[in-house]
Amino acid sequence: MSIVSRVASNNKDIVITISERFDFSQYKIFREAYCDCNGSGTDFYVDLSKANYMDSSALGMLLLLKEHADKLAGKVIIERPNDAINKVLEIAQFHHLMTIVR
Amino acid sequence: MLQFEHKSTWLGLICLTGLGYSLLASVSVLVQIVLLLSIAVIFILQSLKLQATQTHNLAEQKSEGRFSANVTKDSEHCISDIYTELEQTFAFERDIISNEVTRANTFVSSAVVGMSQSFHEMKDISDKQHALLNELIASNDNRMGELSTGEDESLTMQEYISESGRLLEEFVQVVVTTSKQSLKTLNHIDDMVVQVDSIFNLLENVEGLASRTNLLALNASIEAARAGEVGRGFAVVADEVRSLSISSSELNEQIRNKIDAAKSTIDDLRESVEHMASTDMSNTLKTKAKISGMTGSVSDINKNMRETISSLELMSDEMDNAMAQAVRSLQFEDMTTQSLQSISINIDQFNAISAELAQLSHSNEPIEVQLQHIKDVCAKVREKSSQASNNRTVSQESLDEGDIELF
Repeated sequence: MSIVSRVASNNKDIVITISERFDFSQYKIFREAYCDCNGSGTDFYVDLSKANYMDSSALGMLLLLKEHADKLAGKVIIERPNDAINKVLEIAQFHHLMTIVR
Repeated sequence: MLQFEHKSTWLGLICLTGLGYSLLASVSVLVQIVLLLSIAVIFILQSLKLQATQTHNLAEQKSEGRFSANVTKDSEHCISDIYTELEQTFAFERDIISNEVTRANTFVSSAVVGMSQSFHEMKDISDKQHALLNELIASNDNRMGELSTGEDESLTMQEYISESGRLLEEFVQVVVTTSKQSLKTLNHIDDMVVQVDSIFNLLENVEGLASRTNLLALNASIEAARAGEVGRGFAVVADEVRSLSISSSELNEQIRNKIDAAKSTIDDLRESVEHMASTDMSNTLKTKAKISGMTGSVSDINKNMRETISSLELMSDEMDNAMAQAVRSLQFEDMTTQSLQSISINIDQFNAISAELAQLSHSNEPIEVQLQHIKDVCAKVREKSSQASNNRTVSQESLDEGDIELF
């Protein structure tokens, strides 16, 4: 599977790791990875270090995740995107919306 | 712009060549004049020498008392011939020199007219060039300036590029928002599919109810048959119930088909939403990179343009200066005319000598007196000439003096 989610070591936050292509085909798994997490103040870490492609639907998915996190008063943190993906995030001005850790 | 400059340069060259030629022409004429004058002077001197020798011989002959009327007559005749010869030579040379002076005058005047015309044209071209440059600078400043008036609807290059960049960002925002909304729609569709699936479950229950009713009706008709005549009415009811259960089963099937159709429509919907949600961003990224590159190259072009324009401006100033210098140099016409005029005066001096010679050729006065006359006239001529020469040195100053406008 190209999307793996796990609970972080603090037993509260969620880490979602995406490999290879982050596009519409991952939509269902991505949604399932977070929609059942309803703990208040849950932060979502999206690890993109293994991803090599991202289209607009991935941006849409991240925005929906952000909406979900906002409802829980949590945060979305994007981790280690590669150059190409970072450019996509920049052009969509995601650095204004969420934390991007390179 | 460059064409103009080339044209001006060529005109300048042509003018300078013309100037050179005319200077050469006037110089050669002067050299000729000087040569002729020296020949004339040598001629005069030799004749005078001859006369002196003859006079001397005559005097000797006189003093020795061997003076003969025959010899005197011959000498007088010979001297008179010489006078005529000298006078004619003077007249001949004078005419030639006069003609040459007039020719030189004409050459110089026409060359100067041509040159001044060329300079006029050059000045016109240079002025046009200046005006064009100013126009270019003005439009350049307008276009590249930070402030553009609201009345001016046309976009400058820089504005156009930044506008494109802004539009691209807006486009990306629209794409991202569309993706988000599509995915949200997809969430709703998924929820609906769950509902539809639960309808299927309910339908299965209804199906079960129908088959159980069918079974019950079957049992009822068996029981009615066993009851015989008494159960006949009940058997009719049981049959009706059975056919109702069959109809209900059929209806169920129809509902199931409809919902299946709805589900396949939902699948189509999901597909179109997927298309809506998925936009490849790589082209957008390329465009963004291009726009950034364009911004850079436009400012480079602006910089180059400014530099070129300012150097062109400098060049045009230099050209104006060079032209002013050339026009100043055209004063040589005045100088040359003055020189030629003095030469004319000098030629007139010969007339005096000529006239004297003409008079003497018919004179019966003694040789000594005649020679004294010639001597006096020569002294007078020399004095006049040296006076005129002094005046000339005062009037002819350096070419650099004074600034002369285009004429």
